Amino acid sequence: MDTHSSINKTQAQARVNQIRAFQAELQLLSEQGILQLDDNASQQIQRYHQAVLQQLQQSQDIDLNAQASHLSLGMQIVSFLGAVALAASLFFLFYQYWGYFDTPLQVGILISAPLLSLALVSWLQRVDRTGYYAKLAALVSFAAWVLNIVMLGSIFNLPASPNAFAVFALYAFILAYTLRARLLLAAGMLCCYLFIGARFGSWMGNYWVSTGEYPEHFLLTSLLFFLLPLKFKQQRYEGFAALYQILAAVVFFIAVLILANWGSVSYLPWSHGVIEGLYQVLGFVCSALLVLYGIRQQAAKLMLTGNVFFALFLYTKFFDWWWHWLPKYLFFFLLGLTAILALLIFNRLRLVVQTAAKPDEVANV
Amino acid sequence: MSKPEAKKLLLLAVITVLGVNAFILGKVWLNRSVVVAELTLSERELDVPYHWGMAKEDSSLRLNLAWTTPWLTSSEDDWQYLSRQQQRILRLQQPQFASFRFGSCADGYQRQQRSGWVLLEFNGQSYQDYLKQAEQHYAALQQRLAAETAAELNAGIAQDRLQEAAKRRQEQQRRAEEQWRVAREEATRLFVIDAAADRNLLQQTLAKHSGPTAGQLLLVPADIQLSYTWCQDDKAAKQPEVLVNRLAVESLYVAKPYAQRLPIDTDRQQKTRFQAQVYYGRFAEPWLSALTPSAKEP
Repeated sequence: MDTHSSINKTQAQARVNQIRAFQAELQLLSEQGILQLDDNASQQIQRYHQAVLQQLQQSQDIDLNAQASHLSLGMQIVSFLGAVALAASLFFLFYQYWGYFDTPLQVGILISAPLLSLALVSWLQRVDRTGYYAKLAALVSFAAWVLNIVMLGSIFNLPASPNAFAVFALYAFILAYTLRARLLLAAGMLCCYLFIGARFGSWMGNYWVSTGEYPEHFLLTSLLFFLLPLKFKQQRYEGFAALYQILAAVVFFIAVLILANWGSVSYLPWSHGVIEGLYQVLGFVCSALLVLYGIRQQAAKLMLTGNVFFALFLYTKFFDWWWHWLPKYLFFFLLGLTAILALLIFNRLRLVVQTAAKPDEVANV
Repeated sequence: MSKPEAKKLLLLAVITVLGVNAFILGKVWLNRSVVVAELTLSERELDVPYHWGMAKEDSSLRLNLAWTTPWLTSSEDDWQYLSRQQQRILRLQQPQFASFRFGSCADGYQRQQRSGWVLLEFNGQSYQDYLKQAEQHYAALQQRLAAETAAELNAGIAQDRLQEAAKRRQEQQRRAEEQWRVAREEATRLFVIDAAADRNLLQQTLAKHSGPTAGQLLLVPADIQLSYTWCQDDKAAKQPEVLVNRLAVESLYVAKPYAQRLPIDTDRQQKTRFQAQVYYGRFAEPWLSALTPSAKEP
């Protein structure tokens, strides 16, 4: 039984689902008279499963039935909305009363806001087993930290600096790993994108505020984030590996998609046509590779990301080639045909995967 | 996550908060420990935001620095004395321009932004030149209006047409007087007179500008861009031009004791007049050290 204490929430939920499936199948077999366990064995199995379920629920707060799963999803959505609303409330509260405080008091409030909210996070972590309230408080703490840095810069007239994003990212990562909060991990990653992009832009001689005008700033960071979970395993942090790779892939493909259509925003010293062609090829190759990687790793969401961007690259190309040239009914007919072709390919892939898959394999992403 | 590990991470978060704040406050202290420039600005150079005291959601006050660059043309269009208050185009010497290492105009002027330094001049030669131009423009207009009046009288134009022309001239006269007053009393005296990517290049210009008419000079960081007029015009025929997009610090926070001294002008009819002592420190970061409202004009 002690082995259950070291598994993460996803693994615990998979174990619960497995037990529930076993119980349902056993009941079916019993009703059809195929398998009849004696009372002693049946009670022993039931007692064992009950103990496992109880322990898993206590240690991981997993859902023991489908209704509880739906409620959990609802709680996640509500806690996300609540966190955003509380962060916005804190932001406007500062602005509303800011002018009524003297500078030392302002500095004191700014520094103590993230510290007090951290103390709240620590307390909630101890008293709240579900973790929702602690995560909510952590997001408020992150908002307080952003306000701390921004307002301190404002009252002392400091010039805007990309380094602020580095400290935002650091704090978001610490909180994300403390509470296993994916939203904060995403916030940390986005701050990292901005920081590295701005620094890269400065090295290239540009003003850092123009970071977003050069999509190439984000390519290297995306690659780093994609590789990060391969180098540093994230098994103990539910969904972190998937988030790193999916967000990295999304940012990477958006950047490539922009460059594939507007070569003028590239640093490369070639003609716009050559740059666009290069990024179109890169987009097709990388999205196809991501689909294959997703299949290989049994990472459904990564595969989906690859699919979506492959289709986007394909359709933007179709638009470029045929929108003005073909009658509209033929253009959309061709799109429909490509969708059917894609369906055929995926069906084929699905069959290959199903044939090759072992029965006990469980998708991990 | 195990409890000791979570504790360690929370401790790291506390250290991050305290460490980063200590670093920022230390830098502020270092900046303010040496005053490199002291300017006595007024409402001419520090704009009070329109919503001051009236905004429901924001009780703080920031004053925006109003600055301009020396005028490039000698056109006598009426609007120029007002529009030049927001002029951002600056003509540079070749070494200063080259220091930015701008690419070609074909790459798009909008995307050619660089961090650099600008030389700010307060109440110096540039403002005197501007004042002189404004005076000349006013005098030329007076002469033109007088000549027009004389010509119309001699031409024997019908009475109603004469009245109409007199009315138009009266309006022109009123506008010219207003522009001349604005130049003397309301226009900013803060001019960006030079820019370079390398601060040392500007130090040389700074040395050249010493003299009785130099006013107060200081170097501040700014965001510079290739100028669209330079890209559109024939580049061989004139000096290089840049666009000074913004100063690194374009507004000053007004602490509570100073903000309370600024009256809230509810009817927005009269500009609030004040004097503000602005210091620039070791890292060219400014702060407001005093603010005194001026006596209202009768």
